[in-house]
Amino acid sequence: MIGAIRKLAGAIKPVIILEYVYRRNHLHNFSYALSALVVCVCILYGQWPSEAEACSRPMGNIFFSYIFFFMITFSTIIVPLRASMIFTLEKEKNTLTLLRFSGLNAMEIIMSKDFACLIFIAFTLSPLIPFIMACPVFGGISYALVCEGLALLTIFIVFYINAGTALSIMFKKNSAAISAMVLLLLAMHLGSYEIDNYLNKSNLFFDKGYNNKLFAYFSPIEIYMQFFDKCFFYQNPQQIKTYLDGKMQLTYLHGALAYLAASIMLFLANVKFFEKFLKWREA
Amino acid sequence: MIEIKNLYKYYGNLMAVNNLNLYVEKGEIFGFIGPNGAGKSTTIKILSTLLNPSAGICRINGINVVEEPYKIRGIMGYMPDLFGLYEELKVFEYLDFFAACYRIAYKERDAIINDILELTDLSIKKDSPVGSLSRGMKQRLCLAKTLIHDPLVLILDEPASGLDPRGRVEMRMLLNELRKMGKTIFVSSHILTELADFCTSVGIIETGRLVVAGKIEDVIKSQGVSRHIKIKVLDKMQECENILKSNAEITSIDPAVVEKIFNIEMRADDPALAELLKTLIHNGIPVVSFHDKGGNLEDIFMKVTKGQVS
Repeated sequence: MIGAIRKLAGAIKPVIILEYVYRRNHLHNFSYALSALVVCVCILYGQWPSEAEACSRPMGNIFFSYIFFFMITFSTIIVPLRASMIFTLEKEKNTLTLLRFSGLNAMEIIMSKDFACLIFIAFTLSPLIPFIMACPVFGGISYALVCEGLALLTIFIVFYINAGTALSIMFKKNSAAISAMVLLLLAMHLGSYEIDNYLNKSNLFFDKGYNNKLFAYFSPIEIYMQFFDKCFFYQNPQQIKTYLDGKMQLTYLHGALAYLAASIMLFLANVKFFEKFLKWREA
Repeated sequence: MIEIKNLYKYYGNLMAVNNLNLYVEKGEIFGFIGPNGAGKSTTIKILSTLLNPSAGICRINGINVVEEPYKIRGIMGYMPDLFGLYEELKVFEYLDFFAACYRIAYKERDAIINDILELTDLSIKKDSPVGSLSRGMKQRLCLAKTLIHDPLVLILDEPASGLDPRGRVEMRMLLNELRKMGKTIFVSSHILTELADFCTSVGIIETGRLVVAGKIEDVIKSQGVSRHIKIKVLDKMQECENILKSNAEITSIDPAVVEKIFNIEMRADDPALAELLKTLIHNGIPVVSFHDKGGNLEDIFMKVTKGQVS
């Protein structure tokens, strides 16, 4: 097991060195991190709680809401865009064939590229971590909730990276992959509400007495909203009784777990179909 | 070393490769020739595991290219016709990246990269950005990358395309050097005269079918194509012409004798050529040079192909 992990680490290392040392994009990476920090500080300064607000909601709670909301927005825009260009950039520069002939297998190539993307976003958001970790000190939010929020964010980042990788394998041009990613984001965030609306209208699944959401529970908007409700209004996550047997209850945690499972499945599918799909495209 | 058996490749209804059978022995430089659309690149992509065949078997060193692509990539170096390089990297970094991917130990990498840079004549550019290299140097750098893991077989798709005359000469010298190192090289090219200079065997493909294949001498013999000989003499032009005319194996003598050079065509093997030179010298003809231009690949190519595409 340790040997396999070492082997994998050995395979990932050259791509990380390529991306972050040999490519000399330190300035570019630092500028992203610095921008994230500056924007966050500006938002915090602009939204500095008034006395009244501070009385009704603890300062730590307010700070957390702004910082976390910024992290969500930033990662939802930047990560999918960057991930959807992982392989299309290589295709456009005609370097993918050389990478495939580099002694790395499909899993190593995909994992190293995904890891490089993960490092980028972790580095970009890293200046905000001390701020968010300081929030519990000001009260109104616990460390457990902060960690839960960060875990949720990580799950979505991992999902976006895997989805972006899949699209970048499928498409040849950056523009096509990015467009597909935007469509996917829209479908993920808003499409599920539309499905529920349609089902409500057609009265197929929902009992009028229950919550009329089902697919919407898998929308990142809904998942984050429920998390915010729990943080700020101390509400328990909403639960619904589904049409299945009236007993199954869905919370935002189920949604997050579904995304985690989807990420793993997407990664495995990417590895399995990487070579097959590229050969099919070649033909 | 390279074995292709009953290979077929269809793109929809289009048959790109039609029952191709080929065998390339270890240490050979095999020139794969054919007009555009003949199926060369398709065959090369199948051999280099980038494409699956519709039917047939391809093996390199006994390993099936479809079943074990990663094993094949471990023993093979592939240089595509169109390739990109990480232009922002330095030459050394570029090779170091691929050496690390091939899991060459850190301590050994420097020595290996320096050797390869010397072989490809890029030592002086070791610290230059890849983007600043000329086209010829980029071709050589790509070749250097394919050599980094010391492959048994090299598959080169149009390695000299787009190069200026100097670049072509350098590429030819490099391939000759690799042949001396015992590599098996499978190379496709449109520039037939170049292939004739360093290939030990050739295969000509048209409309997906292999029209002719074998050692260059055997192919020349089997196709009954004349050899082009260039003879330069100091004087005694008339005597020389008489001797040449009396030789039955000579099929034509270029009547335009420029600067005391005779261009002749003859159907002869090496001993017959040696005999002709001996005769000229015995008859007191001051021969300055006697050059077998060899590689009548153009003649063979024109003879066996019909200019059709798949």
